[in-house]
Amino acid sequence: MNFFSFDLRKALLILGLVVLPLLGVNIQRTSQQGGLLYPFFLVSGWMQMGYTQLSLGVRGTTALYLDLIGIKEQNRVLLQENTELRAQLGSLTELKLENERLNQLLGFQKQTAMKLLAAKVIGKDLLPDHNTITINRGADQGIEQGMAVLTVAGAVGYIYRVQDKLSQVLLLTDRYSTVDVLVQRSRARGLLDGVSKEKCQLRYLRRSDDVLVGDLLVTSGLDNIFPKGFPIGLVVLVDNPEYGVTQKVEVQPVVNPSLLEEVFVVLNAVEETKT
Amino acid sequence: MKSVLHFAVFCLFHFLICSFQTTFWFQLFGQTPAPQLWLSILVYWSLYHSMVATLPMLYAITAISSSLSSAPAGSLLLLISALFGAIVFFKSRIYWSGPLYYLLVSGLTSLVAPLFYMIISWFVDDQPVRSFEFFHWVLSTLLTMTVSLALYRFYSLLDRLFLSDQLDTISGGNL
Repeated sequence: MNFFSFDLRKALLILGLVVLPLLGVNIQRTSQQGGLLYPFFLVSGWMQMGYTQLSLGVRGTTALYLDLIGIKEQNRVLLQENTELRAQLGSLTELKLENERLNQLLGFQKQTAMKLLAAKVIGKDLLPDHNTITINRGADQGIEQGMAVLTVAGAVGYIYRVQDKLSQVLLLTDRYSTVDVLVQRSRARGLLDGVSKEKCQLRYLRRSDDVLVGDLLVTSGLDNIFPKGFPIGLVVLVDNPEYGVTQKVEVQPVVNPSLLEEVFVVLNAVEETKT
Repeated sequence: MKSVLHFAVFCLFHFLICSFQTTFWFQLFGQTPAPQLWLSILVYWSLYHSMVATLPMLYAITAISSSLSSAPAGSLLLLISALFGAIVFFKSRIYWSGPLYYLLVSGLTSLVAPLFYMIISWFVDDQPVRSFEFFHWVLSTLLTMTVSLALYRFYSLLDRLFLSDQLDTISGGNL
């Protein structure tokens, strides 16, 4: 083989593997813009941004999924806490209402000159045909039979049976209850009998007596049970027949017995009436 | 002696269930109609004990119940006696052993007791009963029937405990 014979393939190999890299190193030293390589830079930039956006989406979705598990657990804990707080709020609301009620009772107790004993309603009558309540005060606290029982809204009834620690109150709506009352506006006087849980009836009111629907009935103080002037009920029906001596008057009590929780027992109603 | 103890236990339980009806039920459920638990022992003794043995129990039930009600003892005794008579009459016509019969009679007694009391009040009281709460009446009867089975079991157990020598004639032996 002749040393000077030219092999093209060998030349290209030497050029590509040795010469061009050395040339390239020199070009890199003299130029910062990379002239011939700029398109390559441009396309790679596009490619890299695309991949970056993709990885952000993937990372975000993964993080969201991972966060959801935590959020779910956190939500469960917060729900439970919320339920407990709501329950506490319910009982606090009840305490608040009781506090307001008791403050009202206390204010009422302070305003009046009567000697009042606060009591809590703890029971009711065995038979549904009778309207009585049981309170948690008795003879040990100075209660006697016949004492009046009131609330801030008006008269409730009177003590008909006393034990050491308990008393039973005959409500105005009981059919055995009879109270002497006055029509506040006209001062007409009659006897109020209980009829049912929502109704009483005014008896012995003469046909000539002035009473209208909406009139307020108050205690007369003449029965030595209730102090004078306490609201009893509102007139809801007046039936004045053409013949007869008396008129029929139906009364709705101002105090709803179904809602009673605390009451006052008047320990000195007789003295209050005399003053 | 066992009979006396048996009687005393029933009286004590009557106190308990009447107090439950008037106080505990009221504290829990307010004005919701209560089951007529005070009739349960009356029904049981009327059905499953002799008339001679039941008579003192009627008076005991009257005395205990009147301590928890403003109803006069006389009116209450009339009512309880009328119910006893009605139950005995019903038993003479229709009877089968078992707790379901007790449930039926308890329900019927709870239904007719207010009616009987209304009729009695017309004759006895100056101010008779003039109102009737239908919903209260129905719900109270349903609740009475609901609890009657459990009460029947308990009363039968008491009979078995104290009157084991008389189980041929009373319901305790029929369980």
